[in-house]
Amino acid sequence: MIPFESFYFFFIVGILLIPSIIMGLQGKASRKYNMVVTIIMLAIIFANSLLGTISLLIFTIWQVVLVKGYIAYRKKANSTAIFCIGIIASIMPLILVKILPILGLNHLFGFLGVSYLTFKAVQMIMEIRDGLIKSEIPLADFLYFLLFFPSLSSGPIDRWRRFQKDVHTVPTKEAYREYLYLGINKIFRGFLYKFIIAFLIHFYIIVQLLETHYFELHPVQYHLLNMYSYSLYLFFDFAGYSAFAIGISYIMGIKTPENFHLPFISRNIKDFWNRWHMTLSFWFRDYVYMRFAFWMTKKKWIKNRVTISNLGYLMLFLLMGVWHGLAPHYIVYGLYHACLIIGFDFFDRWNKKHKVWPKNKFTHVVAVIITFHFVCFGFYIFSGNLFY
Amino acid sequence: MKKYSFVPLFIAVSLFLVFLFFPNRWLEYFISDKKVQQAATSLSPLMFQGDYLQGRMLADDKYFPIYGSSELSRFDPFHPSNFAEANNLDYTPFLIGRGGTQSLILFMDLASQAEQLKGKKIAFIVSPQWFITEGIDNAHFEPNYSMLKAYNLAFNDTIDPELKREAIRRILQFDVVKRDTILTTLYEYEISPSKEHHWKAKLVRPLAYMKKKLLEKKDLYYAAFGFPNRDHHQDNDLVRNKSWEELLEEASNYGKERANNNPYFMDNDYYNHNYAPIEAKLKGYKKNATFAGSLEYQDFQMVLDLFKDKGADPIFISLPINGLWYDYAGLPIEVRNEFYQSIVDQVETAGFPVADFSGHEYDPYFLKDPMHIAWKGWVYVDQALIEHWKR
Amino acid sequence: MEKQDVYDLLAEVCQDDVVKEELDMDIFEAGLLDSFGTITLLVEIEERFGISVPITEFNREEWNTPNKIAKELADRA
Repeated sequence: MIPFESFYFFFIVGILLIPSIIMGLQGKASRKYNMVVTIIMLAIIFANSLLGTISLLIFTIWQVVLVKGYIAYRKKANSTAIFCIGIIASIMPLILVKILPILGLNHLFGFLGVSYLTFKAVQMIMEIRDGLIKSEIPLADFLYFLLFFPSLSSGPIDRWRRFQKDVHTVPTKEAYREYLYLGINKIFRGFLYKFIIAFLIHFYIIVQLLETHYFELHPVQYHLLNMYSYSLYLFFDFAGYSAFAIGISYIMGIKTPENFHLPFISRNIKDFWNRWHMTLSFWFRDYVYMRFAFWMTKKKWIKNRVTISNLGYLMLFLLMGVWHGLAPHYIVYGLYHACLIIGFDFFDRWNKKHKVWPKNKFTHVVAVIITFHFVCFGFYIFSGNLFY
Repeated sequence: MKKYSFVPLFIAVSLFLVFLFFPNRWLEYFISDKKVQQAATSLSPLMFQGDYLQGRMLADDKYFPIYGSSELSRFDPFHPSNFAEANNLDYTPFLIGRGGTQSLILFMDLASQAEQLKGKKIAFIVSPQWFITEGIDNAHFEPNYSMLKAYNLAFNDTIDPELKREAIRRILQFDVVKRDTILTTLYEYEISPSKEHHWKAKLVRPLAYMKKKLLEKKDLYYAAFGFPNRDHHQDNDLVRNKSWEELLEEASNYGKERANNNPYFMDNDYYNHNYAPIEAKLKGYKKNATFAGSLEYQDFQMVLDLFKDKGADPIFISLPINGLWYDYAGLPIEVRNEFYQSIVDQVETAGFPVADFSGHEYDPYFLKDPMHIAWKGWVYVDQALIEHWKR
Repeated sequence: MEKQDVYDLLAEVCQDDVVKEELDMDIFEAGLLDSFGTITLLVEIEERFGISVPITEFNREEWNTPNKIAKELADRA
């Protein structure tokens, strides 16, 4: 069963969470029960996919061995080479999933959510290296973090230390009441976004209008209509999905981080990446861009800050593109955003010197409108419609 | 500390339950005959995927259902829906089909209404482009797949069991079906009733039944909401009270105004939009294409078998493709003719009439692009429909 | 390492002396420190004070004002 797609999914989750809610409202810990719920939900989600189940098992064992092995090693030594091997090994399952289909072996390995789970595992290795995770990692907690069912299939991507803190904090009766309220609120917002707004956009514009009026519309009209409707659809569908995942987490006592914060009112492209698919962009910012820049600055391999920053962006967005898939349109999508952000940085520096773009309400509105169009064009590249 | 009220939640849930348990009979009051009438030309995928409106249509003697695919949306004044309305004919065409509704999709649709087919006049338009080697693929199946009809098939015990098993074996090949654990469990029991499949099917049967009921409810709400009419490009005066010769003349003139910038008699806009930029690249691109051995033949046979089993009264309309264009594209005429003949043979073997228009491959303004009927083509179809209706 | 040294360093990195006066100002909100500024700051902290702060430790909730940064560093010195 695909999470959050059907009435039955919500029905089953609703029933399973009744004990969590009762325990929570009494101020009792529901951690163990929630772990059991996660196991049941995993079984339901993967019930009809033998390949998925086996792949998930292998993936999980692989990541457990890596993380446990690396933390044991890190207590004794800290070689960069071992760290790099650890990272590559951790990403390896994802690389396989992306490359096997190209070799025509798509039925060998792969499961729902592998891209998102990989982020959770890789950050563990990185934080162990940094010495941020020192204490023993309890196996049950690690598995719970990695396989937490609400965010299994498409995020939001949580962080271990944050998650761990939530797991071991039992909210008071009053605090849980708030969690429950916010959780239900988010789930209903998800219904509005995904099952009402996104459905209507998809059904009445993308399918109906575009299909029937394809020959009557001018190609430019057709592409514009397609671009804006697809952008809005993508947002409402994904934000709705995230709202479900976050809402259900709250009911389970976990404050999974937000993924969207009104992305279409971003005032520039940097602002956009602080509002769109936030857990993904923050992950790349913290674990790719910042690390790369820090390393370059420290080793003084490249002196120029701007060059370092631009190279960092290029790497970040190319990786993000490839992560979506190895198809050309995803790579172009990554390049497009790298160019936008490098271009914006250039403009921003230039503007600081020359002060041609003042900061006021009017320029703010204009900036939001310009950013919106650039962002929509990016989604259109992402949709692949431009290429095929 | 902020106060949190759960009252809105209870209101939302109660409203949901009211909608969920609102009796079907009461809902049907909201679905007037006018809504059925509007659905006739709505070409809405939700209506195709639903059951209720089609059931009402089949129960009403004035409707003449036309099953087909993308050509149904090529409206012009000669289109059967416009033609029938302009001339006050005693039937109203009810259009079922859009891009990708090939034999298998239409079979599932018809099987869902199998009990209403007896003696019903039906038109079924067969398009050559369905008959590619692999038949219908996931990309065309999925958007047209109706979960309701797939569940109906599992619970259907009125159609021939052998036909049912054959259909299930075929439907099980598609990804969207494979993902549905409940449905596949029922289907697998149908095709191989082992002990293990038996108790599994028993286990999921109540769930499946509930799901079917939910889907029926959803269909009723959609129907009650109604489906908007399409812009038909109606022009009653152009087609009213004219002889067939006059109509063909009008249609030729109508087409001539719209298809005059290319040697294939394709609609100008369509040609400019789709072919002009890449024409040179497409020379000979179909030279190795073939219709032989297409899976579609078996799917089509299932439609024939169902009609026969249920005693329907269909006419099959076999459409040509654009001869001028496909000569350029390199698809040999022998291959084409062999295909047209195979369709005629298959339909006639089943004992049904077929209006074979394959002779119109090179007839200007019969088609408006490489494969979609329009203008003059519709005039010939109108003629075939009237003849069949009177027969 | 004195508190004042930290403020001086921040003023250098942010290229604005306001951080020496408004010690409880959120320097990320104010747009004085961005991702790259953070890097420079961390490299400088390591070089000048010999304290290495992992990047992922430096989050925008606990290290967002001159006062908080000085306190965090003092705890580590």
